[in-house]
Amino acid sequence: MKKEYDVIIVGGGITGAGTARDCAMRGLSTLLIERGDIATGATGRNHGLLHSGARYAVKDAESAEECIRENKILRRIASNCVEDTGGLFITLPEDEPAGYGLDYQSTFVSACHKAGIDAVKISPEKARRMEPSVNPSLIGAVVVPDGSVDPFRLCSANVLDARLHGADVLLYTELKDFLRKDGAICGVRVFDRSTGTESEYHAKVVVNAAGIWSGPIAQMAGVNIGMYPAKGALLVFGHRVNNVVINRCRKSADGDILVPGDAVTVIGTTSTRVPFEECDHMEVTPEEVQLLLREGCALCPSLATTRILRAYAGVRPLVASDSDPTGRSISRGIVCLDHETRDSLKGFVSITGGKLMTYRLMAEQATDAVCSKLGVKARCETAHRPLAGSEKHRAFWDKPTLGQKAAEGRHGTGASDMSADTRLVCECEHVTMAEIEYAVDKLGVRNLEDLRRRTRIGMGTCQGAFCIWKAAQALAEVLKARGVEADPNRLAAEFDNERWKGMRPVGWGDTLREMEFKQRVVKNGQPFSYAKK
Amino acid sequence: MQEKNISTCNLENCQKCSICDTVCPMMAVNPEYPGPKQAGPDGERYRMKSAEFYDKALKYCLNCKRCEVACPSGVHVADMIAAAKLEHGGQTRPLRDTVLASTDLVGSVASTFAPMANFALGLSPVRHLMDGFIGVDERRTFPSYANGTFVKSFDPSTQKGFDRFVTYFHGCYANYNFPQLAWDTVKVVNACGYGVHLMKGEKCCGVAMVANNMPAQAAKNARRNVGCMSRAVAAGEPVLTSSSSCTFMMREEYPNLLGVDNSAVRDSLMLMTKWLYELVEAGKVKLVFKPDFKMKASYHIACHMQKLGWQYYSVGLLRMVPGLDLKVLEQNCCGISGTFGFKKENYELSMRIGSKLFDSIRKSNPQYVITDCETCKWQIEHGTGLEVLNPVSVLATALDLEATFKANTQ
Amino acid sequence: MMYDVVVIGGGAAGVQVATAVSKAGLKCALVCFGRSISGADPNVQGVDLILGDKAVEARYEGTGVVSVTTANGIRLQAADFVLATGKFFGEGLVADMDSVREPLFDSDVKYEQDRSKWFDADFMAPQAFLEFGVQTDAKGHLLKGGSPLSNVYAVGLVVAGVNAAVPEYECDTVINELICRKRI
Repeated sequence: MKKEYDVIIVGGGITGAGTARDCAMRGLSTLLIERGDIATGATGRNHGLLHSGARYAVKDAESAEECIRENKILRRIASNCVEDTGGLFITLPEDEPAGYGLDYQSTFVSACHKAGIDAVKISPEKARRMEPSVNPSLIGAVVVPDGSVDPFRLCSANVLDARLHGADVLLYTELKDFLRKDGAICGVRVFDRSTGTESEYHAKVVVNAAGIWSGPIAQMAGVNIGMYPAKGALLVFGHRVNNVVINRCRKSADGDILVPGDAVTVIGTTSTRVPFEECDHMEVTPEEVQLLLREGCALCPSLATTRILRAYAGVRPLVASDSDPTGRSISRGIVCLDHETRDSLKGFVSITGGKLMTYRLMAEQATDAVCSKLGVKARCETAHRPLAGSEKHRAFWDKPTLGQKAAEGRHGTGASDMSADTRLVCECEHVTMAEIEYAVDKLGVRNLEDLRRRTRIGMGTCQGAFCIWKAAQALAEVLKARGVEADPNRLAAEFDNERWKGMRPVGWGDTLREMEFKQRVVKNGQPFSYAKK
Repeated sequence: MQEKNISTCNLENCQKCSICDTVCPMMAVNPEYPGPKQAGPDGERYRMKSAEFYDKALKYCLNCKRCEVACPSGVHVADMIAAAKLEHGGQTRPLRDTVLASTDLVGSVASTFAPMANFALGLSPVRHLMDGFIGVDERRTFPSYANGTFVKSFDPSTQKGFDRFVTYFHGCYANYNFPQLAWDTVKVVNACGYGVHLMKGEKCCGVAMVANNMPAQAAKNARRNVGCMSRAVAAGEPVLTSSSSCTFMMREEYPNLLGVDNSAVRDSLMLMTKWLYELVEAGKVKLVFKPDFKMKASYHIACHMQKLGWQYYSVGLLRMVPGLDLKVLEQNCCGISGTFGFKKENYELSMRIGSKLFDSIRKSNPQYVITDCETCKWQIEHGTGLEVLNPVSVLATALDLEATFKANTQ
Repeated sequence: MMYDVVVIGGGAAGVQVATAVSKAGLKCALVCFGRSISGADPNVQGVDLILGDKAVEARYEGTGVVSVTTANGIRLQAADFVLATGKFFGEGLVADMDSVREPLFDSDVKYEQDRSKWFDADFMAPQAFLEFGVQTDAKGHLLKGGSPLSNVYAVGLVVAGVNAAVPEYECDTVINELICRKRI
């Protein structure tokens, strides 16, 4: 491995991954470091909504315009990560007295049009036909080009693409300190969590793309960014309840977006300022669960009787500007700081704020800043070239199995590299041995959590209760064949604790039954011999 | 707020315990079938995302409902699979499938020319032709057609002396192929002091149409039958049947698969054995058996009977017969699944599934096998060479009909 | 039909009781909603098996129960009843967002009122919810409204204190009681 780079990017979320891709595409020698796995922060802890921008149209025209531009770009470059579900903004009878009736709807539609968002008013009748699960008492509806985006997949595709363009990626590698020369940042000292060793890498520029953790990293560099951690909690339902994104046509509030993502539906979010120390250990409270359920049922009444798989929370990496306690009046605008001009610290750039939807633009701005420092003239091409996996392709299997179809859905053209081993490991999400091998070989998977983020393993109905032991053994076997020793017991234990965390806040009804089953399988062994293929 | 988080679509009640897979008779013999969990709730989650996740191997599902009986979570696994087949699957061989499904039409033609039809169906060249051309396996013996139907020879005037009535849904089999079953039913019902009305406008229940992907026709028949039944029910008569498959179809599949509301008649629609058992238990009907009746028989719980849970009544009644040495066999699918086993491509599978049942029958060494389902009858007779009786026919033979009639009318 | 014992639940505990009382000559029916993950085989020689069906309603007389009716409408009368429906997985207990009940007899359930104490964050640590369950007296009678139902017993996982993940319980007290009562 090299020790000298043009640029080192700190943070394996979507911003860091996108920046690494952009830098690599512009010919810079690039290193991406991440203390854990990719997409472990806010990237993997949001709705997965492919915003049309409509949500911001009334209050924040600039964000709205950014969103719709990036929306169109992502449909083009990340077709494999995006699903064109369409979206609805519905007006309910109870919104009228609160000032968000049909008058507001008109304001909303014209604001959308001004921002370049194709918003079309339709009748409640038509909305019910378009999305049968929608609250039937709606009094108005607007169709917008919302969709869903799989953030894990998007992040993974950016990392893969960066690597294909020559970037190096170090996961489970924590930044310990910056290297300095003549007062300028000239590299990083890192700690490899898997080997327990420290090493140094030099670069002309270091980019801080650590999301909410950009604050402490800036501090390490001796500069200050005031981050504003705003927690957002979400619930995952057991299956797709809706096939169209449903939003509430009113001022942004808690629990007013319902997104169908892959095989599930997600409701979110809340917004509460939390102390920074909580960012690493988010717990969803009973109050948040109740609030999300109540608001979710207003959008889609059948949620009241739908099994909740789990609850999770993320932290928006907002940059503090004023003293609004809810965090909602902060613009989701991009903050790109060249610390040389801002703080007279050479060789250091921070990219933060923004959101999943504008990650590519953030990466472009950060890369522009890096290039201008390095005097590189190459132009940004990330808006035109498809990501790895999203290239146009023909069918590459004659008679694909369900597992192969699912794999193609998740990895696009990448699935054509998979072996013919179609034995199913995760039955809820149709993950095969071939997909596991692929994820280890091409996507840098080391443990079951990594594997889950790349393949959806254990994200289905049983949350790993039934097949996680099988998955742990399969992964250990694949790793071993590649010379990496892994203990299936340890792999499974880490995974179980993480799933448990998400199930606890919603542990009643069928979810509680599943929890009992999971406890029993793990603590008492597989209850009887399953005659499986 | 969430009172319970159980969806009406109930696929997510599935805990993935996979017990269903351990009882699936198809999965045990056919590696191409992914099993009820995969074909049912697992597949359904993905089919809700996109129809491209429909798996053609679902055609192997026998709709025996054993998965549902075994499920500790009450998931309608087989319903889910059957609904997906109706929505996405097609017919394997349209001509053959339509002929097999049209029991009513084919039956009325064939029974008019019964001797000719039976002769022809019995000829090996004809069977060979059917095998080759339309894909009905030549090793199968077609159930023979009766000369004239039960309905045509039933004389309503024989029922005039009664003041209490039941309505009888005879079904295609008792009408066209085996009127003896219908006559036995009438005999026993009469002996209990009840007269028999036939159901005016009765149509095939549609079970074979559902199995052969003809949901529109099946729903049409279903609406017609429910309409006819509701007239009987309004007149205060229960609707009795002698076939567990027809009964199951009309009680469960009408609302669950075909979306035909049968709530007005569902509670009054039952197998004759359930009706009779409950009357005997309540002391409202007395049964007098022949003192010299002797029989050694094994009772096979038909799959749909098991799902109804009504072997409780048939077995309960049979146990009242003093001279009957009855063994209740552990539940195993016979493998015929209505028309499934008649199809050339399924013959081997069908017989392999049935072999476990055939073995257990041979081991119990009975004179007769008793079951409530006519297609199980064909398969068991084909597989074991033993004669298979409906419980109603056993009762008709074992009862002293005259003495029973007297006991219930005086 | 009139039984000596109706066992509700075809898991390990229910099958154990049904087998023992049937061997002792008692007429027994076993109501089994689905097969048990314990692997217990509900096909017990001499026992009427009602499979794929659920006891949904009980009829009371005096301090006891005279019959239970299944979802398929089968009414089972018996001298004694045994509740062996398991915990949450077996649906012997049903949990809402903030309460736990036993659905058939609505008997007394011991559980933690404060939901935050149902679970431990460490998956492998003991979990309080695994030991929720119905309350019984020393002879195994089910308690309802604080007093025992004279002819209803509870065994196996459904009983409070028995751990659902690592089950340890005995059925002999109840089996002996059932057999003794028959002799009297």
